[in-house]
Amino acid sequence: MILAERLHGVTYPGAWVFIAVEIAVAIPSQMHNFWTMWALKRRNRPKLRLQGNEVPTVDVFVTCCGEDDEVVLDTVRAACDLDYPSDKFRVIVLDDGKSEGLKALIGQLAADHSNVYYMARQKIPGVPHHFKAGNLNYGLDQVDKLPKGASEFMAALDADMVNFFPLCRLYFPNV
Amino acid sequence: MALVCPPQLFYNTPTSDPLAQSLDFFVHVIEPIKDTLGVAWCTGSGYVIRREALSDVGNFPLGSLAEDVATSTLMLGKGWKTAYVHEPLQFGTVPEDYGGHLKQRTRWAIGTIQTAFKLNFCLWGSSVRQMTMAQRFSGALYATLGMFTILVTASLFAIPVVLMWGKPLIAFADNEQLRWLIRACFAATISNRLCEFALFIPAGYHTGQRDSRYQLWMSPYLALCIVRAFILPKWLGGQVVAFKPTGSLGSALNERDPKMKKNMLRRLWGILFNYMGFFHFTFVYVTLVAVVLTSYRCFYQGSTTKDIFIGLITHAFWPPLTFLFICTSLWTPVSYAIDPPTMPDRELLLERDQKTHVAHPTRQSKKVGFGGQAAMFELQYTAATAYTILIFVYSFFL
Repeated sequence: MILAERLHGVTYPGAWVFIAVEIAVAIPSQMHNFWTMWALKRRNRPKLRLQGNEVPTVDVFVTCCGEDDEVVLDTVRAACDLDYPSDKFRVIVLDDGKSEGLKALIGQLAADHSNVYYMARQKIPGVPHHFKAGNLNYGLDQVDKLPKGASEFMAALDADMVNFFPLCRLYFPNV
Repeated sequence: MALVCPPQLFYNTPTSDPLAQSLDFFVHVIEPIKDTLGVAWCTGSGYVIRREALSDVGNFPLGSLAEDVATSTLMLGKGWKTAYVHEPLQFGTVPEDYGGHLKQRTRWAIGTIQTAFKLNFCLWGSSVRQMTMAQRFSGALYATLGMFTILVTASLFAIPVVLMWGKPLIAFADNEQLRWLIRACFAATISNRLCEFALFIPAGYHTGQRDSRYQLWMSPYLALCIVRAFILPKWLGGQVVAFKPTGSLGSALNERDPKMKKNMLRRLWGILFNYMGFFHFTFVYVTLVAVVLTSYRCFYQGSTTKDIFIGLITHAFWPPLTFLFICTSLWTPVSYAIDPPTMPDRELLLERDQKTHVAHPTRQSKKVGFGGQAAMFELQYTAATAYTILIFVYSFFL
């Protein structure tokens, strides 16, 4: 380009802008490529499963805030259905939307599953309630107060996440 | 080990996934890479955490739009380990409308940068004391890439501005240099395609291509929210919030619901004006006008066919036809408003056990269908590559 400018005795501002932009845009993506190649070693995570009933305790939080009751209920149902000893895990619905309908539906489900709980915190207007993080922390405080106390582990599911495998059985060998 | 997290997968991604809502590239390519480097993130759902580790970082951090990633980063800073379980264990739903998608993605972008600012880009300070080099670099990289969308948005203007101006996109002194520029451009295009192919395969080739287009059309939204959250002072409208529609949208567009969806004019109005698609619309028109103008000049000024031809390829039609790629990507919001994908009722995507009422997604609903739109984009890309090859061949006769 410099040769071309010398030859014609003019400057090409447009071309320089173009080059500058190309370089500026290339730096982060090149950094990303470099980072990708950094990981060129083998990733080693064996697929492990935990067997039997001698398993650690876990609290599964289902956080929701205004989703359709049916959607949340499907998540809770699937969570209750896990292949995990029912005295080793609790499913706790943390409803930031305070849906009366959901409360009733979870109540019905709790008749069949003694390890299901519905909780909705008091949100005081004017006091920051910190959205999902606040909701989860409220859940952590509340399970500490339950008869058996806090579990060794906590798990969380979004309101719309249907899981179909006992997540815990996979995780604990890893953990 | 403090935390284990599975991928976020979805059962209601529409055919061709026009808005690039599936996270397949992230969960099948990026997360395994991050896990290898020891930086598996907590991505918000399905994870299991050791309570002891959670207490160690003072439970979930408040005041962040991405408390999940912040939590796992804080744990790494305390010397805990995190792991990613790359198995299909949970299926959720993607936002069902345009506005929901914008809100979700801008919230993630702001949250990532917010966390980075709090933790000094994971480079120094007490909260990242126990991090390894790789963990620090990854943390810094993700925050930088987030800020970089501002630059991407600015770079979008390079081609239309240079063309409007009537300047060539490249400069050269003689034909020999032009020949080598063409060959270098050819080599770059082909190696880029090979690289893309290798990188995209684990997530599916079309998913990768969709994400490349998403990077372009989404960048103005992300840049706007990032500028507002971190650069503008409060009195100029600075505010840490996800994208919100301007003006009153009236009622929801319900664009994917075959029965409830609003008519096309209403959808276009909503996306162009309430969701600022007008920017994309204007951008595409200005760029196309610039292409026509600059090409007209080439015809007007060139005396021989060869002059005209060289004029065209050094202006708008420089391989691999970047203007075309930018325009079709930026047109995404408009084409989405005109022809949104249709999604069946949620119940049809699930298989429900009659006795227990427990529902799981059907095998079909877990996959992103290949549709006409993905095929059109691939056709365009193939044509642009073929054009690059032709020009390369031509360089030997120049």
